[in-house]
Amino acid sequence: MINLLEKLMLTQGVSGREENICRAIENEIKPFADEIRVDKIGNLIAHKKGSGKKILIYTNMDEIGFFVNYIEENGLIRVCSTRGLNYDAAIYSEVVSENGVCGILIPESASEKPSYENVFIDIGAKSKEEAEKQVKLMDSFTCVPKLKKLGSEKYMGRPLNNRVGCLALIEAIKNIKNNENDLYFAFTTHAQAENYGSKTAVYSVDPDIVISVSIARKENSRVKLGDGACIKIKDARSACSVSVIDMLRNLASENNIKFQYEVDESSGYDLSLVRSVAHGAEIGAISIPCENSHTTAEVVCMNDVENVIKLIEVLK
Amino acid sequence: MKRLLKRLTGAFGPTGNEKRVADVIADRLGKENVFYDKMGNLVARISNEGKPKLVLSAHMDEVGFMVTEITDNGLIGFDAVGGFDPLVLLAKRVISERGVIGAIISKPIHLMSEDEKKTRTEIEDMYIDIGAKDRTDAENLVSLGDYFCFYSDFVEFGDGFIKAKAIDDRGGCAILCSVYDKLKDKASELDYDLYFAFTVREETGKSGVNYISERYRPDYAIVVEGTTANDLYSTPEHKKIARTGHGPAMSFMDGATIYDRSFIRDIMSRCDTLGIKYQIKGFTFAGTDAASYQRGADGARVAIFSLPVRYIHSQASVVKLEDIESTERAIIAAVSKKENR
Amino acid sequence: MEKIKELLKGLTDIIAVSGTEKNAHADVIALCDGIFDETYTDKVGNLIMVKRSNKPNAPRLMLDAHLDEIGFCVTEILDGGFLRVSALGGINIRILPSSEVTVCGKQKIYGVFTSVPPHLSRGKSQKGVPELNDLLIDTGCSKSELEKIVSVGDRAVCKGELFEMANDYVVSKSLDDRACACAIIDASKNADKDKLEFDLYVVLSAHEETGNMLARVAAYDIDPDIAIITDVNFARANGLKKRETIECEKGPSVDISSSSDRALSRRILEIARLYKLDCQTIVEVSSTGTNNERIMLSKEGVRTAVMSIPLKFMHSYSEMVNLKDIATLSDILLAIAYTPKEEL
Repeated sequence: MINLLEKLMLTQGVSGREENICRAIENEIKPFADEIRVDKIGNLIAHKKGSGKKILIYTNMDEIGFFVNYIEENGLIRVCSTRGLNYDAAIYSEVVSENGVCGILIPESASEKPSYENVFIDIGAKSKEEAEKQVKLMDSFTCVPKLKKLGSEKYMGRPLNNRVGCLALIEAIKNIKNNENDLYFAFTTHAQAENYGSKTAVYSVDPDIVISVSIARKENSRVKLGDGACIKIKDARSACSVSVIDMLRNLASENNIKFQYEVDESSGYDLSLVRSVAHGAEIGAISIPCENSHTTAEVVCMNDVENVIKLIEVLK
Repeated sequence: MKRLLKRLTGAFGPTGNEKRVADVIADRLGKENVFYDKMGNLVARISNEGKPKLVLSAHMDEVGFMVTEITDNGLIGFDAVGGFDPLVLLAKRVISERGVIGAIISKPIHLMSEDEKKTRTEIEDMYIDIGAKDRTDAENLVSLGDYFCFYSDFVEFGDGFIKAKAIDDRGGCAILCSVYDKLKDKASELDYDLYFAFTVREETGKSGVNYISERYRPDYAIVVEGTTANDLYSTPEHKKIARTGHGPAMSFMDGATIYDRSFIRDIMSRCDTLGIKYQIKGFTFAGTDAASYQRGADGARVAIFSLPVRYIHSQASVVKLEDIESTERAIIAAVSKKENR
Repeated sequence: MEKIKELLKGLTDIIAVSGTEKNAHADVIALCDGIFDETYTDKVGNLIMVKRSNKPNAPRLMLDAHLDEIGFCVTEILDGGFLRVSALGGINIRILPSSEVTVCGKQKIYGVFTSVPPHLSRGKSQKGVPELNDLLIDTGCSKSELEKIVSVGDRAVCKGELFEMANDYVVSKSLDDRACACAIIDASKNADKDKLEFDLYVVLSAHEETGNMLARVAAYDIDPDIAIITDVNFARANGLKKRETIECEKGPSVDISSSSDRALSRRILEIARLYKLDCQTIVEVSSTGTNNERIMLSKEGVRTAVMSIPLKFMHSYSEMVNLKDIATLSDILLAIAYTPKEEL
């Protein structure tokens, strides 16, 4: 399972550029799904047929990154970024483009206000011409991906957000057999850019229940690494459906799955978008507790990931 | 094109009250060729069964004002519908939906206290003066909720520049009307089943695009918008987001959307082959209707052409005519078959 | 006014915090005995009640008021029988210390919001305004007893029984938006099926206070010809601006904005004038802050108008409205329902 996680993390897929990670995921799940399709905006949707309730479980497959915005005459590159990457973690770090070009992220000058408007990526080019041999406008860059074990149970690296969500769904798709419920799994796009592909996925599947799988940020809630899968109660804009919360905690208790609760008062947009699409659906969320998210040193506990996988599996 | 642009920019159409603009467009395209939907959008089509559906979209509304209060001495309190920088409002002439003319005023500077002089005037401290004696007199001429918009004429000046109100997005509407005229009998030469959507309520974010997505389920959408041309003397090079005279700006990311890269690259290569000028626009925080197309109904792949407009959202927005012409050519290239470009 | 007061008391006694509206549907239906032809709860928790006109193939008029009230959900059960809660909706924190609450666990239990002495509150608090995190609910039970009855996620709401004051004013919790629900149900009750030009679809919608506005789903399924969204609006009181408020005892208002159907709004004002019913106007330029924007954007679009009842001290358990304004709204809604669609 760790090998799969590493493989996913090493495949770059910034918001709007998810083709490679989409293909990688599709190859993993193909033998285990009854139907697979990629929709108009790049969401990957897999179907495991069943006759019971229609449940859509989704996670986003895009990651935080930068796009080449402007190339200066001296070969330095200006960027714009998707939301959320912690500036202090990213500045001065090594970055890599979707085509493997190496660079470093540096501030424009020591006195400038720290923000992504005042940074350059230096790929070692001495002129605009030389730079253009390696990168083009709109190319994506990320901080270099990595995965390392920390102690006996934890793993650190990036982008754990949200490759662990993808891992959880992939493992669940592989393990679930003979599901009663009609299960749809979606790997969605554009989440880090806040134009969530999840809304479109919900529209075309039209489920009874929608469950999002992602990370629970330790900075925003009282979750603890190692205390199990998080069942979300609410975020800043939505309260999860009481029926789904009850269903998840009952299933967890009956199947001896360790769980805790997540309440995120500071953020949350995705859930509020999907709940009133078309005919509406009950919504819930399961998450993996994560420390230092949106930096280059995110940390999760593998045990929590395993519990999340188990919790998804019992939704069959 | 100039005459159409003059007619369109002169039309009264603040957000929520776009009918008169729609009528101008219907008149130009032919009433039998257009469809008014339930919520005020206007749609025309060049049918091409079997080809993927592409919507060309421009919004009909302009930022405007709405009457919120009538004071005892006959002044009109108002608020902005859509985004305005209060700095561009004072002393400008305005006209109401019923044809009443007034001007935006506030406290004369010589009556301000020292503190007041240091802070800018907010909209709540501005009033429209229509010359009414008192409240009763004013109430004969305007009602609560009435719309006002800028009273500003169409002027050609300088080296191919045009000044008018509402170039955002009547410029886009004019371009789409012209494209429709040029392509309407040439369906077989197009790569797409083409829809022309003239939409409502973009400026307040409650966009009419939602109805278009739901009804037509397009595969692709190209939004034709206005954007701030920042090419003034003092702006550093890399901050000149879109420059006049360099053709339409194609955005690849803004505050609400990441545009579809392979779609953008396809359009770019078509323009390159034909030598049509365009520019790539750097990041801005504003959102556009493209976001609504991208996540409306079952989604669509989106791209945008932004007309570089100086002093956008003011009574004197400025555009270069050649940019309007390049944008029109770029759109035609984007949708036409290779042999016919 | 007596009948309206009785109905209003029945409605405000009901507890329906955002997300648990379904639990209250049976009680609401019981209050509407014999009025509607059909009642059902949709997938996401809206209550829909239908009264059909005797005209065949009548068009559909949707009347929306949100059923949910602001409240809390339990996030932690603490030693000593205290509960930590999170807000559902725009809670005015200043009124909470020492307020009484009902916690809806397996049974309803009583609690009181603690008041934290300033020197003991953790974290930042500006000028003595407490943070919700520091205000606990004291249930008086032991933790182990409490855990048998209450679970994380359970709802809680401030108590605020309805009382009548002078001049037909009442004070109560959740007049936002039960006052409007009362007007809609009253209009439905009085509706003569032979005179109805529309089938009435009354929607008591879910999740308005938390911003998720599930009324959109109801609009999608019903696909009405016209929808009137009713909610409360700020009553004019000392210190509030004229352009942001409406006056009590002058009837409901029609809220004019760029997000609702202008012609429909003006027609409603004319109809009110015609029937000599008090009606005011207020302008909300871009957004009304109600279910309107979501309903209007549903499917291929809906013609909407927004009407409000003036309410004092919004989002507290001592909100106030005048019963006469509720009655006037009921009469105007009925007048609209009796007007042929072509004339609207």
